[in-house]
Amino acid sequence: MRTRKWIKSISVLCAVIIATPFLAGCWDRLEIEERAVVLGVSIDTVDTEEAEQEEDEVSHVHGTLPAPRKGMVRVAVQIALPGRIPLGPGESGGGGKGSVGQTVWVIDVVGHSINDAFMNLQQQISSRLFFGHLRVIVVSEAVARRGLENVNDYFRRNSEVRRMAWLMISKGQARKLMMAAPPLERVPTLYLMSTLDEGIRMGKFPKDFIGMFWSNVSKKGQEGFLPYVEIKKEQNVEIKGLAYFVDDHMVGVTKPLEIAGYLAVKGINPAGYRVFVQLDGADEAVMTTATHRRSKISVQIKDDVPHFTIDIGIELNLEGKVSENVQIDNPAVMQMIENKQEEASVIFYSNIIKKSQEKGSDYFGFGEIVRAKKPQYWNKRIKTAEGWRNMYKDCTFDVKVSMKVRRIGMKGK
Amino acid sequence: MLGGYTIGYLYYAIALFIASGLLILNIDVKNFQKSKQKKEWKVSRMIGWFNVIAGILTLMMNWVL
Amino acid sequence: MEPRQITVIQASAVLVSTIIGVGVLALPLFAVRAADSGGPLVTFLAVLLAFVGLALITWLGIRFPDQTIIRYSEVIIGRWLAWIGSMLIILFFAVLTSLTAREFGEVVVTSVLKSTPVEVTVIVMLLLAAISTRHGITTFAHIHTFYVPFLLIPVLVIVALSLKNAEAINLLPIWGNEQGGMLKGTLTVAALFQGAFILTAVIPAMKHPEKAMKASFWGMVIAGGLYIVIVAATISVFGSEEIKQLLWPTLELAKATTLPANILERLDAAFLAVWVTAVFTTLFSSYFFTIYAMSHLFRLREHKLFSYFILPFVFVMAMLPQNIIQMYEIIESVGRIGLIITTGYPGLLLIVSILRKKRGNRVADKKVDQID
Repeated sequence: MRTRKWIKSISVLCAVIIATPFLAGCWDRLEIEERAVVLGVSIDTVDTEEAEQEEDEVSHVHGTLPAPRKGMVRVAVQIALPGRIPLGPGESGGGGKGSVGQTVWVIDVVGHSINDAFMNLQQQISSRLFFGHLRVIVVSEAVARRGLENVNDYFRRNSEVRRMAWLMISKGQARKLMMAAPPLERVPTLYLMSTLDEGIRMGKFPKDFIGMFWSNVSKKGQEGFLPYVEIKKEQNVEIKGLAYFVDDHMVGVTKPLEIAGYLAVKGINPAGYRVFVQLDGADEAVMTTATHRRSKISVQIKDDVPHFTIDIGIELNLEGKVSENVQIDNPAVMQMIENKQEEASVIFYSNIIKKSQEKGSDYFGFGEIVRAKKPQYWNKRIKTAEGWRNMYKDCTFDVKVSMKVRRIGMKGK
Repeated sequence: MLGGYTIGYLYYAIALFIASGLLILNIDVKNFQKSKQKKEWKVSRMIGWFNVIAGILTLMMNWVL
Repeated sequence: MEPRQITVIQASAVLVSTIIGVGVLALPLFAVRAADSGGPLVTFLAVLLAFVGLALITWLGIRFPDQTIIRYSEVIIGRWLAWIGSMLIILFFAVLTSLTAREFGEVVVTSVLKSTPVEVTVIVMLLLAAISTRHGITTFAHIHTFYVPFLLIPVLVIVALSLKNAEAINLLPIWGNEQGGMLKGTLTVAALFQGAFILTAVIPAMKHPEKAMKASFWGMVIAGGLYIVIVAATISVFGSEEIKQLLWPTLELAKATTLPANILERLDAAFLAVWVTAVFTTLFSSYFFTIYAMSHLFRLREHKLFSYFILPFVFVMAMLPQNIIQMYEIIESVGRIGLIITTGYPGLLLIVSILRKKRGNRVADKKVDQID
């Protein structure tokens, strides 16, 4: 009887011992302070010779791997310092002064590719790099013009990166944006991110997360675009326009106001841009702000070439005037403002489209409309992204704009 | 064996063969004997021993080769 | 042994939770490869095809209400021919079980537990299924019924939330631009529904087997509807070209979806938790069917004894694919071959049974699985 009991308890013990490694999940145990949480990444070009001097033999031996044709890259990362990031609004945290180095740690390395650079970086820091909280990737214009294939591949393949992160193109060096420490947010990348997130909320920027950029790049009838930003002297960040692409090469950039044009053509709400409307003389200008946009794009095939009719409607509020020469006290004046702005807008929108045609970059996605609505024509004449790029240059557009001024604020005239 | 990442799955397979055989012999065979299901008892004893022997044989072959 | 207890609702729950499984992750990719923006249409055609297969076995099940396919095939085409057919079915379901477990392991090792050996994930999942299959078919139906809401609701929530980023234009034209692989794609997607074959084991335990057609209809409508909704949502959010760049578009969809007010900024972790349940129920069904069919073939009164026996065999089969690309090639071709077994074979049986005027006993309130 006793031995029976012994056997039983031993077999139970064995079962527990065998089951523990399976159930406890120890293989992937990773304490939070053992992670290097990457909040932001910047990617710059670097002089090849200089970089090869600086690079250690981490992922390959010197001289075995020729520098890539597109040149080597310098990658800077912002790593969150555990315990320094204030959790709630009440907590003063370690930051407060708002200088970089308080809440984050910025390190830069060089590499032959993005992945190579991260491997070089991993060799230099103790904790495991963790990309689950990566919010902002800044790429310098020079890198973007050479092409983003490698950047896209790396971040798409990595399972930790979220599709809601922002990818942006910087004018000048991208690393400066990693170093910037605007006083508004205690974590610098959060400031960068909120610049764009608030831009969406105020109607100043379209939703364009990295996932959407990837989708647009993949589409046959559309090219990608990304926010184009520049760091100003007070370490604040300006959205300078849309950097637009052909395939994964950046080919051009719009002016800030042209973002409004893009938003109007696509009919994206809410609306938020203010513009000057010139009435008669130089002094007779008023300023209006858009509150709501609507757009309808239809396509016909004329002489074997797509012809688009873009019907835009915008609701406005009058925001101010330059001088008292204009009296806003009767519907006729309102009508005149509407007409003037319509005339100016038609030319403005047409020019934006014309410019994108010259560059061969359909970042509006007109091609997708052809693919969706005229599939027979698309299959016969266009078929590929390449085919659409060639066809886009010859497309014709007919822009119709209707403006409605609804409100004039708290002043009577 | 359970320590690190192994490219071969052979040891896992051997462990499974032996463990599953022992489980059948310890649980099913006994139960069928108790409930006097003759045919089930015979079959379960057979497949139980089959798995155990298959496991041991593979292990030995792996050592010899 | 067990009295007839399974209701129509339980039977359709078994179907739903069996069908929804590991395949949902790659489903939009299969559909889009077939006919880019025509993915939802391909899925719809696949649902129709799968329903034909399911209707055939339901019809057979109604003709022979107290036998499983293993037994009535012997009545219809004779013992030796039926033995070959049954062996093929058992083998196919064993392979299906192992591929499901392996696909599960690959997803987990790629996206969540990166340093856990894939063997361990596969073993744990198989072990879980093996232990659960030791109970009778009524418990089996109860477990499935219990999990169905946990499968449907979270997926529908994710789909609804993702619609915020959807663009209808991605779904046009509804028949797709390049329909080259439409037929092949339809077969591949239809193969994802093959777990529905489990119904042949469920019908003999149903309270009212004559209502089995109702169960299979609703099971297919719910599971098929969910599949179509997932494909449509994924395509409308990403566009068909982007999906071709992704290995598991549905997981990517969960990753791109946020709960309102930033409570959870990415739902892939939540989705994976649901998906583990979905994989478990699918694995549970195919594992159960394998050993259940084996016990019927060898005329044993218990299927329990095989539950641990096949474990090492299934595990070894799961480890055979060398890499993830090869694994998907195998899954696609095994799935298409499986359609012959799960649709063609029952079709043949049905025709022969009608020609030879073979019919099972009328349902009396008899116990299930009695040996004649």
